[in-house]
Amino acid sequence: MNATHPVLIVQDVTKVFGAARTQVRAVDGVSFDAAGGEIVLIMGPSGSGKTTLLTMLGGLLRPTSGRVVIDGLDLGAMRPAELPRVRRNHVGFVFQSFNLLESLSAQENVEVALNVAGVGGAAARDRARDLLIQAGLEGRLGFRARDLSGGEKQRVSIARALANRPQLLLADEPTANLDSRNGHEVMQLLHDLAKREGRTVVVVSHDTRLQDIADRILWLEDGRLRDHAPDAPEERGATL
Amino acid sequence: MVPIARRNLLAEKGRLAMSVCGVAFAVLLVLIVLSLYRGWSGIGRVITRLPGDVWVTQPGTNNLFRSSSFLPAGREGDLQAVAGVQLAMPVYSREMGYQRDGADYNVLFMAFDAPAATASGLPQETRYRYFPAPGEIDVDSVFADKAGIRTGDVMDVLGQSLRVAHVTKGGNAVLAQSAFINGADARTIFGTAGMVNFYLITTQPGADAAAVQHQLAGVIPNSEVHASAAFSEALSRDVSEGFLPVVGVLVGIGIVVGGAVVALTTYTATIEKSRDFGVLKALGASSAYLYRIVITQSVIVGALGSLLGVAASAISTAVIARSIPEFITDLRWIDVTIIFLATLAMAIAASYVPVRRINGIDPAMVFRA
Repeated sequence: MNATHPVLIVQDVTKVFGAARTQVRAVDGVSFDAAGGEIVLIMGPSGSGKTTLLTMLGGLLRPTSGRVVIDGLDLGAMRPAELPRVRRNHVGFVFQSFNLLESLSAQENVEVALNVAGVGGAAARDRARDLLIQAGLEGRLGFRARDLSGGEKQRVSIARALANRPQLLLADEPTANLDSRNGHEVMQLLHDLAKREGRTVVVVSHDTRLQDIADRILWLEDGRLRDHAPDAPEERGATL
Repeated sequence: MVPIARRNLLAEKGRLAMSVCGVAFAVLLVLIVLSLYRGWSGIGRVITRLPGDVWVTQPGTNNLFRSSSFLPAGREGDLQAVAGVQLAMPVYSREMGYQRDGADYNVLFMAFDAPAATASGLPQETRYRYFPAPGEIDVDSVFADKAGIRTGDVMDVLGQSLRVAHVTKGGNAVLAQSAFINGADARTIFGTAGMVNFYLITTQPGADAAAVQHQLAGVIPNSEVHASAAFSEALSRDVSEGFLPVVGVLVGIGIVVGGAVVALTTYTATIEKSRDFGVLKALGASSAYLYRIVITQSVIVGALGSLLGVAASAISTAVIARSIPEFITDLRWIDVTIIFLATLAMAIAASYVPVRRINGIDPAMVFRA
């Protein structure tokens, strides 16, 4: 782990939904940082605020208070119109439900991320192709997303997340919809990305198998970070 | 660039086909109406094709078809004496009903009463078309088609039997078609002893038309002089002014229908792909990138619909011309180009609502399973 240069800094981040009697503190004063090459696993029961936190880390939701800094860029100090640029160039997303564009092929799904960043033509095609080959999908480049298996979809999703070489990868339940073998392959892929390429990976999950690749585990409950894992067995991960 | 717009449309081929057909029908409606308008507004050419370029009429005559005009007969010599006049002919003209096999037809019977010797100096095409021999009649092809008349048939015109000598083109004025008879026959049929309806003047090549008209004005007391072009324009204007409001309404309806079809298609496609747009937003897509997808979808539907509509219009006008010959259609490239561009503009305008919809998509939705 490279602790000298935090890629991600989260300082006292709070998110409040609603007002007065209907007010809910989904995330409450969360602080941590993550360095290049580090894998941070955020665990917690359903409704603990994990996904809300991840959404704020990705610049998709503004915190009510606190700071999120990615690669030295303070998201709170930026105008809303500037946030897409941060997402394009500094953040990669991996989703539980893959979120591939079903009408496009595997290669096109990766190309789209490059197109969005202004890369087109042969450069985009070649980069997408290389990423998918690295992800073990050489024989699936032209397959429509809807024709791929769950594991293949998630690998395409990871390739897409890496297309613009982001320093920070945010993964929301990346193994939840995968069987044991595919789940293990995705875990291995995330581990390689962090350790071989020095990217920071923040994973939100119930899946305790991911503890094996995590450098650090944060436990979130009722929007707050806890010092240690809860003892209750059901909170260790229902997906096991 | 990945063609997301095209892929989105092709994902629902049935809907795409229906949308394209909807736009095509709107374009077809507009182009057919415009081609009819163009065709009808050019009917004044029926007058400019006649063998002369200046008309002498009774005062107040402003339309060869609808106005009556009576002038004293035998004044052609006086008119012929005017400098710059090559030929002056009495003209007998009357629009009336003609019955054949139980059907009524509106026919403008005309006779140019030039002596055979004089007429023989005219171009062969003119003599052939406008100067039948006594007992003969030359009829317009549209009228002939409608009434089932062929060369050699005999027509009974108010008790006078006339043999059809020629069937010619160019005498269709939509509401009536022209037929040309001999001057002597006209005097008998119309019973206009001592009167003619008009005098038609052919000016000499190179003569100052305005000066000739000016001199002609005083030759026959209580008469007026009109250029053929003025009569032609008056006839075209009559049709245009009567037809234009209808054209305007139908073109407006066509554009609204086409726009609604494109808007509905693009909106539906956008709604269905809301999650995809959310994903693209999450990936950092700019608003311009997303708008381009929506607008491209609209333009594709508009362009395909336009092309299909133009093709259908070309076929339809050909079919109309064959099956309803008096409906003159004139499909012009300028109209096709304008309607094509208008459809594209309409398609872009129709993207407004879906674009607003995209603005409202929360990219955080992508984290909801």
